[in-house]
Amino acid sequence: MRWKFTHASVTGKGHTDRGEPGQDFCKAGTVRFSDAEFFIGIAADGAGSTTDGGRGAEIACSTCYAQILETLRSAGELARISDVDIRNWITASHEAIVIEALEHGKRVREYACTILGVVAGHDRTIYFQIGDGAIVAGTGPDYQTIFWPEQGEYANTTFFITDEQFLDRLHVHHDTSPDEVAIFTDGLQNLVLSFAKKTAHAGFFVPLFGALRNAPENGFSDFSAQLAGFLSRNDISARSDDDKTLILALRIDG
Amino acid sequence: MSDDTNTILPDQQPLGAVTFAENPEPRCPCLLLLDTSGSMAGQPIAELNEGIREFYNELQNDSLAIKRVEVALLSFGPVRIISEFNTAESFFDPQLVADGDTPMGEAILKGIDLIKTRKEQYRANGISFYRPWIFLITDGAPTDEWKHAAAMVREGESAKSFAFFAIGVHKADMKILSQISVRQPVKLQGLKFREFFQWLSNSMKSASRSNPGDRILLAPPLGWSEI
Repeated sequence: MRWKFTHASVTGKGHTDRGEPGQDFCKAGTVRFSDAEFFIGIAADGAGSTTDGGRGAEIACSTCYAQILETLRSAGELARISDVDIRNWITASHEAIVIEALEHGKRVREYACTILGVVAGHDRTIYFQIGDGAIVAGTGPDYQTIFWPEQGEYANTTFFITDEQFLDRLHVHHDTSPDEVAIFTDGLQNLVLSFAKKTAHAGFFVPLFGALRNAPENGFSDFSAQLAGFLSRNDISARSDDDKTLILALRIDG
Repeated sequence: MSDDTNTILPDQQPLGAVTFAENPEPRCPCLLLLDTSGSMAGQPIAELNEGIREFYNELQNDSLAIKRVEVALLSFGPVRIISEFNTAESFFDPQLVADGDTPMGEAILKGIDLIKTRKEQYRANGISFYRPWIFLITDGAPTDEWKHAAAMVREGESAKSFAFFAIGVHKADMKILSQISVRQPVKLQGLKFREFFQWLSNSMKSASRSNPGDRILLAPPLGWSEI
């Protein structure tokens, strides 16, 4: 069994129109330890009102990814990874941001970003999240949201890994491994989740996973470029001018 | 639709087959508490009516604001709900008439109540929303008990339940207004209601576009205030 994945992150029209850089970041990959393959996917969304939210997102993703690799290397299997380990990944990511903020004489909140992550093995998968955006998992067309995007009271508020009480906002879930999993930032959530019913919109995910499943094995980079093109499509940006990040992974048996 | 719809994986099911979830637009509620006491009679009330009409006009000409900004109108002297929270799609001609006294305290309490009810409706329907704005516009001083209302405004501001702004016209008692509003009240220049509502619609338009993590900032009240 192994994992096939793709990812893309595009800058929203709301940012490009003002000449600003995008503030989403993501990191995804597979790694093999003691004959088992794991998929790791992390996405982070830097807060719009900050100066360095994009940099915060980048630090959060890279630090967390490195931490996960290290834990996997010593644990060898997901069953031996506890909530304490996951809190350590998040704390290390938080601290890496604090250190950079201090070095640059900036306030930590200028690096505010959310974080969403998946570590998937053969039979078990770990999910975690702070803030909005969501993770959707299942077997098409039957998809569930793992955590509902956590918003503050208002549409423009959420929670960040840079918050002082960041561990209080950390959601963790252990489950059996899904056939397909999607991780995305808040720029996509209104298009792919149905808020009235609190469900994932299968009409979005089924064609995407189908395309990934059929994509040629050696064409991964091409597929992610095509995914980026798709995320920049006019009918998508008309409904969401925010940055959009999407990571897709599916299991291939045999 | 752009061409890349079809260039992505041409030999397979095109991603053009992707459909999107339909969700209600997030709402941006704005409540206007309007003084219609006798002293507003004549030109002031005429200019206020005209300003509100322009306000709706401006919102209607903005494709996002028309779906997201919800305006409610409440007049006092006596306290009356002129219009419940509604998007600007349903244009409302206020036709305010000035008579009566200035029950500002009652109007504020009633307004806060309207906001609370509206938020409950949003939540019950899975609609996300921005922090509501309340604008109090008066040319006088309260003729009823207002201390309790002032306490409720302070409470609402500190809980971030809403943002409360007071605009004084002509001989408005700015001293009492500053005891009611946590934010510094602003004095309207002459009868520049139109300019005020122009500024307000611009502010609502930009607020209704903000994304998670954005801070909503009001533009400085230039062009209509005595500063």
